[in-house]
Amino acid sequence: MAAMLLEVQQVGLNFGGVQALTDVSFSVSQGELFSIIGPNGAGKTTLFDCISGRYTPKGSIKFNGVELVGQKSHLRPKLGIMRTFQNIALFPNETVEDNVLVGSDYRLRSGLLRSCLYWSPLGCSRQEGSHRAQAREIMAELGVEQFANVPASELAYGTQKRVELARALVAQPALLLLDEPMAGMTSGEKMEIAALVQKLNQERGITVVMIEHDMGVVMEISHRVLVLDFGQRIALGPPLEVIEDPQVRRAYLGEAV
Amino acid sequence: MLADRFDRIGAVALIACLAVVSQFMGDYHLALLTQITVFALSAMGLNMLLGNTGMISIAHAAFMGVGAFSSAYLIQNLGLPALPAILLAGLITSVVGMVFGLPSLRLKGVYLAMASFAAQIILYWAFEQSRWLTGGQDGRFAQRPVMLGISFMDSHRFYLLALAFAVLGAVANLNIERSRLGRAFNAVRDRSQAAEMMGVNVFRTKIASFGLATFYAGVAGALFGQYLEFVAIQAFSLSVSIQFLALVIIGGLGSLAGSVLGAAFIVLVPEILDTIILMFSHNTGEMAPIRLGVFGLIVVVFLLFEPQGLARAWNRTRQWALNHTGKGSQTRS
Repeated sequence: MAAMLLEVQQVGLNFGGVQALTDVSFSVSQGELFSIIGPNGAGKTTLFDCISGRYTPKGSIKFNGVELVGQKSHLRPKLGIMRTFQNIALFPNETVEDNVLVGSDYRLRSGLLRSCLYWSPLGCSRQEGSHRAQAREIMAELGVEQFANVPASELAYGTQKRVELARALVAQPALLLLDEPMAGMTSGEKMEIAALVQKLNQERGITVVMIEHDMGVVMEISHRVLVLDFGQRIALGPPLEVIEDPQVRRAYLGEAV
Repeated sequence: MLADRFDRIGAVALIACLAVVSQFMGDYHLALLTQITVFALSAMGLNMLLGNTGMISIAHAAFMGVGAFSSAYLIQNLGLPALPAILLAGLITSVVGMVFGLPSLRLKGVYLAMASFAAQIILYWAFEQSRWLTGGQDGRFAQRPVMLGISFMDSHRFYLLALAFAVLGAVANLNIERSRLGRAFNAVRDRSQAAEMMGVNVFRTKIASFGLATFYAGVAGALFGQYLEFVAIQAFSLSVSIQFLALVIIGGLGSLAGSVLGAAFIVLVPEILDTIILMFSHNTGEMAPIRLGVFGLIVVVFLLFEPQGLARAWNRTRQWALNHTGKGSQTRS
């Protein structure tokens, strides 16, 4: 097996007496397409929030050997981690292009002075232009280029999900965290996104960790699946193994055993 | 794009027009125009803070005061030439602004409003105490500058100087809006937590926004003092700070046109009301409370019918003009 890209060890998180995560451990290898499933409230998004720095959990989360716990959130993209959000977290008043370009923020280091002097030789116009071109390319790839100048809040739900994905990709991540990328989509759209995620994983070598409720898609495209229930890991393995696990059937699929 | 070109040509025409027409204006009208120009410059800063970054400040006038007093001090007491003194006054104000912006890391909305209210109180108190800087309740004199060998003692000349600063401020404002920092401002305003996870250093962005807003306030304050040739602490009171808030809200949040239109509104409407009142009564003093009341009423009615400000109304007019001059050509913007 390839080297481990993400190592989550004994991660626990407590919200005022509610144990949101309890001793969760798993690791994701370079190039893997890894899914996390579990009933609502199982702690899946909370786990993402720990990885991306919104919460500071107990335990250790290592990325490429670097400890993430305790590091500022805004350093994640620089390290190579980008994510999307379950309840879409675009900047609603801004255009699609400006939304996507926020993903470039950590690579654009122009400060006040270079912004003010935009067109002058000292200004940031050239750098801005090249990032704008990159953003356009990714937007075209995701089929949202025609909305470049439309405020994000005016777009359909599925389109907003794509814009979020574009914003994550423009940062050229090594690890992509997708929180329910296909929620609320038609089955046709789901197939498209599933194919896209697979393509990103295979052709660009982006390691993907995906939270998804659509079991068909999860079974189809994931290499391995982690199952959470009540903040605990109850199974981990290849999709076909996991689905046969009695504990998973009981907890997740609601079957009596 | 047609709309872009329309704006650019319009802006250049407006600036040229102001530069020429101002030279033939009488003292009264020139005074109003100068005040609008300096207020617009100051408002650009507050608008980037409130409109673009979503952080409120009820201390904008106090920051103008910092600029006004420090430039007067640098020029008269330390003998600095006017241009570096004005810029340095802007920087000093900016540093003070960033310090008072630190609570924004933790506070939002009403709480941040209270923190900036405290900043206004503290600064105003400091003005009263620092007689060596401000002259206390008596105020202090300020000189109209001589810059690059040109004297701006004359009011007509001074207007051109104020206009030049306002134009530079406006260009910087637009350039910031279309680059990384401008996007970071907006991202912090819309969803600061998501912005942080997308790589925006929210803390630095907020402080930069405070530094920028107060730099504008400092430079505008310096010019304001020099224009009046006298700086009094009463000119930077809480009510003036609130007036600036009203200015950017009426003008249009996050819009450069809004900063300019709002400044015109806040300066001209009371004057127009005065003129109207004079038609009915010869005692303006007696009618002053009515004037204030009517002004407040206009603001409320305006916000009810055009909550996105004058800039929005201007945009509609612009679109109408474009559709009628473009001879059916498509305009999207």
